[in-house]
Amino acid sequence: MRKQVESVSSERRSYLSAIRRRRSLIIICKIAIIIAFLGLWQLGGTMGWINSFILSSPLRMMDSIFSLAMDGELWYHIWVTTYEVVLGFLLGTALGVFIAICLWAWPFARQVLEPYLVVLNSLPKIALGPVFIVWFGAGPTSIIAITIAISVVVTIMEVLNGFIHTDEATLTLLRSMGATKMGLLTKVVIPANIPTIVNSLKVSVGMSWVGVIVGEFLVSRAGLGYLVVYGSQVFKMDLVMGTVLILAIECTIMYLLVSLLEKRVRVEE
Amino acid sequence: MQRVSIRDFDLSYQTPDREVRAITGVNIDIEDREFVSIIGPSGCGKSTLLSAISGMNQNGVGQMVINGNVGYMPQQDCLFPWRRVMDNVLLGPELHHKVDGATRAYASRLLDTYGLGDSKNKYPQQLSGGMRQRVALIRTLVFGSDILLLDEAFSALDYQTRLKVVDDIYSIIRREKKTALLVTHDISEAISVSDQVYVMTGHPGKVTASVRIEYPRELIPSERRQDPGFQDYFHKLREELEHEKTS
Repeated sequence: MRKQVESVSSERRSYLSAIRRRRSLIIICKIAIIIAFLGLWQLGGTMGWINSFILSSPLRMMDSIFSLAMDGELWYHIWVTTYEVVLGFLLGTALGVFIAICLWAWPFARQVLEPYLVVLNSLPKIALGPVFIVWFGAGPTSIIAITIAISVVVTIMEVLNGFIHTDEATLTLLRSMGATKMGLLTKVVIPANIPTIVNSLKVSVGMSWVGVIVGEFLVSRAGLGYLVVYGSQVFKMDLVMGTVLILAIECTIMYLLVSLLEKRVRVEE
Repeated sequence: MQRVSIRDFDLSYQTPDREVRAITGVNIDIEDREFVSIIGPSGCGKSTLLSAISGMNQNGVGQMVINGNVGYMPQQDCLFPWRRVMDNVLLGPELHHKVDGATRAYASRLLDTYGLGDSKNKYPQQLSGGMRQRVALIRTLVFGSDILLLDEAFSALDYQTRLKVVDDIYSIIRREKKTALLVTHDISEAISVSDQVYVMTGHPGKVTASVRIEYPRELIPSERRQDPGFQDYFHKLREELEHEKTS
C-alpha cells in the first residue's frame, strides 16, 4: 500500500493538488460572498450610506429576531408555519399519489380528465386562496387547503407520468404470470416509481412553502408569513428581513432532508 | 405426450384504420421435452403467435391445445433491481400468494444447482448478464412452467455472452425436462438449440417450412455449432427464408 503511494507519478500529484486547490478556492469564495454581503450591508448602514430604517441591517435583523425569540413568540410562529407546511405537503403528496394510482388503473377516466388536469396545472392555485377562506374560515385549515391544492396537481402529473412509462416488457411478463391490476401495481408500478415519487416530493416541498406563506399573508393570524406582513404594515423592516432569513434557512433544511431521502432511495436501488 | 398442438390457427387484430391479419393457417406440434424454434423476419407474426400460446392474446381462431403450464421469457431479463435474487425468483408464486416452504426449497435447489447459490441474497445489478439470464429462467421455472416460451430471449446480450447463455439455458431446460419454444430471427441460434425449426414468413405470417434438426440431445449448442453438418442446416433454412422473400 505504502509503495503504491510512493510510486505515484508527479503528473498525478500535481493533478490531485490542482483539484484540491480548486475545491478549497470554491469553498472560500462561497463563504467570502456571504461575509462581504453582510459586512457591506452592515457597514453601509452604520456609515449612513443606506437608510437602515428601510433596508434594515444584519445587526438590526439579529436584534429583532433575538428579542422575538426571547419572549417565545418566534418559536410559536415557526412552529405554526412548519406544521402547516409539513401537513399540507404530506397530505398533498399522499392525495396526489392516490389520484395518480386511480388514473393509472382507469385509463378511461385518465383520457376524460386529461384536459381538466391541464387547466388545473396551469391555473395559479393561489387564486383559489380567498375561496378556501370563505369555505374553511380564516385559519390553518384554509392555509393547508391552499397548500394541498398547489402540491397535489404537480404530484399527480409527475407520478402519473412515471406510472404510465413503467417498463412494458416487465408488465407483459407479469401479465403472463396471471397478475391482476393490483398485482401489477404493488409488485412493479409503485416500487419501480419510488424514485419518481421522491422526486415529486422535492418539487412539491418548494411549492408547499409558497402555498403556506401566501396563505398566511391572506389569513394573517400566525406564522412566518404573518410576521412578514405584520412587519411591513408597521414598518418594522428588521422584522420582515429577519423573518425572510429564517424562512430561507428553514426551506433549505427541509429541501436538504428530502434530498437526503432521495439519496437513500438511490443507494438502495 | 403432446404439449402443444396448433391447427389451422388464424389471428387478426383491430386498428382504427383496418383489421390486420397477423397469422394464418398455422400448424405446429410440440412434443413433451421437445425444443422447437420459430424463425422468421421481424413482423412475420411469430411474437404474436407466442403471445397467443401464452394466453395473453385471446383473439385467435382455430384449434390450440396446450397441455401444461406456460411460462413466458421476454427479451430483457426484467429482473427487479429492488429485489434480491431469491425474491425475484419467487415472483410468480408470490403473485398468487403461494409462497410456501416447498416453493422456497425448489427455488433454492434450482439456484444452488445452476451456480447461483452464493447469489441468493444479491441484487440483480451485482450479477453478470449470463447469471441474470439464468435467474430469469429460474423465475419462470419456479412459476411452475412446463412449457417455456422464449421470446427473442437472448437478443439483448452481446455475442460472446449469448453463446455461453444459450449453452446454460439449453442445459437447464434439458435437465429440468422442460418443453421449450424459442422465437428468434437468428438462424444459427435456432439450429443450435432445436429439435425442430419452423420457418414463418409473409404477411399475414404462415409456416412455410419446417426442418428437423437431427442432433443428439446431449450435444450442447456450442458443440453443435462445431459440427460440419451445421452449415447444411443453415443453408437449408436460409434458402427457405430467401425463397419466401423473392416469391
